[in-house]
Amino acid sequence: MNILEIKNLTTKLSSDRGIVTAVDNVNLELRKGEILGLVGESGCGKSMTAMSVMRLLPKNQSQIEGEILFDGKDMLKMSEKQVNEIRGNKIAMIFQDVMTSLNPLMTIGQQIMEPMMVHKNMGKSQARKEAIELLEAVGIPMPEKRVDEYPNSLSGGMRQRVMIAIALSCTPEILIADEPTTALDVTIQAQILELMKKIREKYGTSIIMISHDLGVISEMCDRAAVMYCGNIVEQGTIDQIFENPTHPYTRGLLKSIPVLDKKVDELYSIPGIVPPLYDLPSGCKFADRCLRSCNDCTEKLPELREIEEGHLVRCIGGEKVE
Amino acid sequence: MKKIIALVLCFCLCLTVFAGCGGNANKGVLTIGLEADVDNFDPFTNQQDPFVRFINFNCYEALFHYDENMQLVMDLATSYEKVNETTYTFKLRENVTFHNGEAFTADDVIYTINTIKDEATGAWRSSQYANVAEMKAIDNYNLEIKLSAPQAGFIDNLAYTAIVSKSTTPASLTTNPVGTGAFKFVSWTPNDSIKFAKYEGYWEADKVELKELVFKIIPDSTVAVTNLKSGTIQFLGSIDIESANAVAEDKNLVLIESKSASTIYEFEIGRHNNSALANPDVVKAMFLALDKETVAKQVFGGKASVAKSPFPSVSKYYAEVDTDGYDIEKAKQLLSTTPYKDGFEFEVFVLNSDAASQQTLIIWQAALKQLGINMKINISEISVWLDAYLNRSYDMIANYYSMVGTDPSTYCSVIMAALADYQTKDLPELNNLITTSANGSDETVRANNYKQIQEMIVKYRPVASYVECANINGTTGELSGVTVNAMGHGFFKYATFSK
Amino acid sequence: MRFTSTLKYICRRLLMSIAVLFIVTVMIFVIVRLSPGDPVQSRIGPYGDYSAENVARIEAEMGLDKPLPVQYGIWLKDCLKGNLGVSLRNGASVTEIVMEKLAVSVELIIVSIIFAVIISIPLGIISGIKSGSPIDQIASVFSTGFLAMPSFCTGLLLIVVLSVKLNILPANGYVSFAENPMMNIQFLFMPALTLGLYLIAVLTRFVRSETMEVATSNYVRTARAKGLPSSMVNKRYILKNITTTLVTVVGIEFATLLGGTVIVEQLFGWSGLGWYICQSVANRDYPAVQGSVLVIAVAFVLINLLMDILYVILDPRIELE
Repeated sequence: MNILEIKNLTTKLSSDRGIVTAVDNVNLELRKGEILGLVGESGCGKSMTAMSVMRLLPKNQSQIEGEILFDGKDMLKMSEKQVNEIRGNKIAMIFQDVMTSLNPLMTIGQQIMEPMMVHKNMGKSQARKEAIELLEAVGIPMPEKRVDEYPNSLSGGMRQRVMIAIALSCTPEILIADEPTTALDVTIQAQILELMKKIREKYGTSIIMISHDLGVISEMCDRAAVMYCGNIVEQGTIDQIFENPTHPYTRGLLKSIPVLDKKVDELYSIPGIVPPLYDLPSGCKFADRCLRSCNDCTEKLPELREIEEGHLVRCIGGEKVE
Repeated sequence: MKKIIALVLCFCLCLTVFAGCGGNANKGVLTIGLEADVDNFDPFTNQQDPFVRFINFNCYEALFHYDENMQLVMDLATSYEKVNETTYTFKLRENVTFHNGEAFTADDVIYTINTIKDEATGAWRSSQYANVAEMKAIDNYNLEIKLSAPQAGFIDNLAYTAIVSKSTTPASLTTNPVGTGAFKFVSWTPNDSIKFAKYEGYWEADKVELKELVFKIIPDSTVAVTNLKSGTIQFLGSIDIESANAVAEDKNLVLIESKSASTIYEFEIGRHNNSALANPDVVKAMFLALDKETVAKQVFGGKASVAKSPFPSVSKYYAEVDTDGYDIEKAKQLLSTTPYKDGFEFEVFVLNSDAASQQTLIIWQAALKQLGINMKINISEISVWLDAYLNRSYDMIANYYSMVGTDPSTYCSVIMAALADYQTKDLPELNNLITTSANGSDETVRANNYKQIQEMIVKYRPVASYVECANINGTTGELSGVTVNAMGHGFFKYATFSK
Repeated sequence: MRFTSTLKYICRRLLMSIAVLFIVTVMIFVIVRLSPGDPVQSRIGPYGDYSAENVARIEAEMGLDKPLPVQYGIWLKDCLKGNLGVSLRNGASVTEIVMEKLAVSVELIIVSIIFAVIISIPLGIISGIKSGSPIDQIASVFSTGFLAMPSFCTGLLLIVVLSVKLNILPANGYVSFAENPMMNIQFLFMPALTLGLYLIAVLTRFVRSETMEVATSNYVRTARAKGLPSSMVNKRYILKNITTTLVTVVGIEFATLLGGTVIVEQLFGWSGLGWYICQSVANRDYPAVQGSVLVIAVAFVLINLLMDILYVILDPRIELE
């Protein structure tokens, strides 16, 4: 059952160089209880997609078209007030830069209590009790003490846990995690990811996991979508994508992962560079870096076609290639 | 947003509350703007303009004073007689009391003069009374003074000497002035205001309509004129040309000008410091290059006239000896005959508050450039200027001098005598003439001497006077009865407000 | 725990401040004597009695005949007792005069600052959040205008309109609050407005840029992602985070204005500290200059101390060591 449906989402942003299309006609479905991954390099549009869903983009610099259906209603047609009722409450988001994402002048307890007091009309003492419980649930030791501390006394890993506690405070149906572990040490990373898996188990929360780290994606997600220059170029289950990568970009990404037991002189990288969003080529945006491109590729943008059940690819060539 | 609207409403509300509370002059109170505060009220040592011009003769009184027509008006004396060259007798006014209730008698005059002569007082007039040999109180209201030598300026000096009570000391007078004048001291808030009230025991109290005399210290001239316009002050004394123009334009305000010119604007030249300036032809050439007519018209707004002598024109023995005028070509030619024909450089000090001299210097600077002479203008604050002035360490310094008395001996003793060791050191004949003429008695001899003195000053120009101007004051239209004499002294006792 | 460390911090700062003040006393004592001219000349004037006896007498009266270190020692000792000396011009007590004029200046500054803060905080925040909007642009023009216009012009404009033409307020003057509160406010209105307009210009721009920075910060993004209403975000996330730097700016402005309100003081006939210092310097009135500067230095030091304490209270990130 789909809990969130994103249909033909196009997000245009105004920049110094004119209007750029950061999200180009994206279609996604999030099933209840699943962890969906959004993969790609920086600037591919994965964060923008999430920000568009949460309506966190500045209104005077962004233009969003399409449909975002949640609970049967189109969020893009909602007023600011209605969206506020959903944000932090039914759909919560955590961010990449943990060190700057918490208000330095409010205690951790206050920041966790806020959504509960606003959305669920909870009283202060009860909210505080809940906050302490949440801190314990996300694995912070001595929560009764921590609840009155300020963010500056916590490490990065702790802060991300606090962010998760805040996000969970109103037991949201969807949790959007934008690169939650990128800024953290590898060991802490593992802990956070464990925590998130436990949350999905315990509360049945659906999660959208955004990352450029294929390792994280492969470990956490049930399904994933690969994005390039605002488009989804490949989409499918984790097995499908990692065992049968079809789009040349996906293949390139997987090839770039260094393997521990193989010694090489040079790490592989996809030839060429990502084109800037204000100067995109016509047709397939990956064509000029693709080893298998032909003249038809540059004529028009290929459609997503299903090559096996649930596995979509935006490429006109190559089925199963070695 | 709401907060801003609330504040704007508050503002408007406040304004309505204040409506009608504007600058209404209280009738019976005359508020005068002063450009600087006084240091003290001691008439023996205080030479500051604000004190001498506006406070001295309203709080204290002298034996007599000169009115705006240069006529002697009796105050504490009712008459005097010059018995012989060295003896004067004075008949004093009866039933006069000081502000502290003490009766005024001849002994107070004797006490005043003795205090001036006393070195310990540090009175700036002490040299003027050095000749007083003997003073006798014939009775309470008759006084005889004998001099050791004839002194032409003696009566003049008495006209500006405030008489104090023998029950006071100069030290007590610094903060608590006690005189016989129409206004009694009430309070002094330094840098802010000085208050006087009508002295009910004044000898012609029935002619005094004012109840209070208040002095407000307003250093900035623009602010002062604005205050005059809004009626916060009703009299502004000794104003500069720009302020005078502003006052003249306003239909509600009146300009009071002293009938005769009393202030000489001059440059004192450091002949002893600068060899170029010690050369009379060089200085003559420079002075020929100064367009004095234009200066009088533009810088002084037509309220000044070109000086034809170092002495002001109201002086006794005034002679128009300065006929050089303005001639650039002649100046160039004259300069080329001197060793300085290729030009030279010099520096002139001018007070930062002296706008008129500054503007004159700018005009002169441009003209001198044509002669190849480079003038550097050093606009300095009072202490720096004073330091240069007192040490005579300048090439040239801009100054203005308000005359005190009609006898030129005062000018010579105040301005010229001090230069004897400096720029006039090489002119012993001049210095001799100055010393001997001060106390001479023969009118013809004196006239001749002073003519020579003027000619020599013009020839060598240790001091170069260029214009003399009247003293200008501004008042509101409703004020009348205020007189200002040629020296710029204001007398407020007959002031009254018309409707 | 934090309380005791705060106390220790305050004590350390106080000690440092005393050291600073001591250096200030030496500096001002020396500097004021380095300029040409002296109070004796100032007192006697251009045409007075410069005989050696008179000069010596006046020097002795002013206490200037003693060697410099002795003069300094006497002055410092008196200062520590609270006596700033006697004016060389009119013999009045410098302590009395300075305190009186300080009160005048402080009244003007405080009222102006309060007025400015009340207006510039909401104006600046709105401008910052809605940057580019009409409100922001109007506020911007207004700020730049009043920043560019010298206070002399603003003040004169107000006088001409409100006093000369409309005759609503008196052009200048001062009466202490204790003496006559109603009159005091009348006299206070225009100078406070003049100074206030300038301060609004300064503070609004500052609040605006701080707000813009904070509004685009990550924690504000988190707050929005939590679905908090804008009023709550504005208060707890934006306003709270600009407070520390706002305290800094206000503190600095206050301290700067202590001696810096000369023009407004002159314009409105307010006999404050700024003008007094100018005059005293011109007169080479050593004790008056020394006393005034010392008082300002003390005020400056106290304000800085107060700001530091406020920081520690307001911002938990500030380290005390």
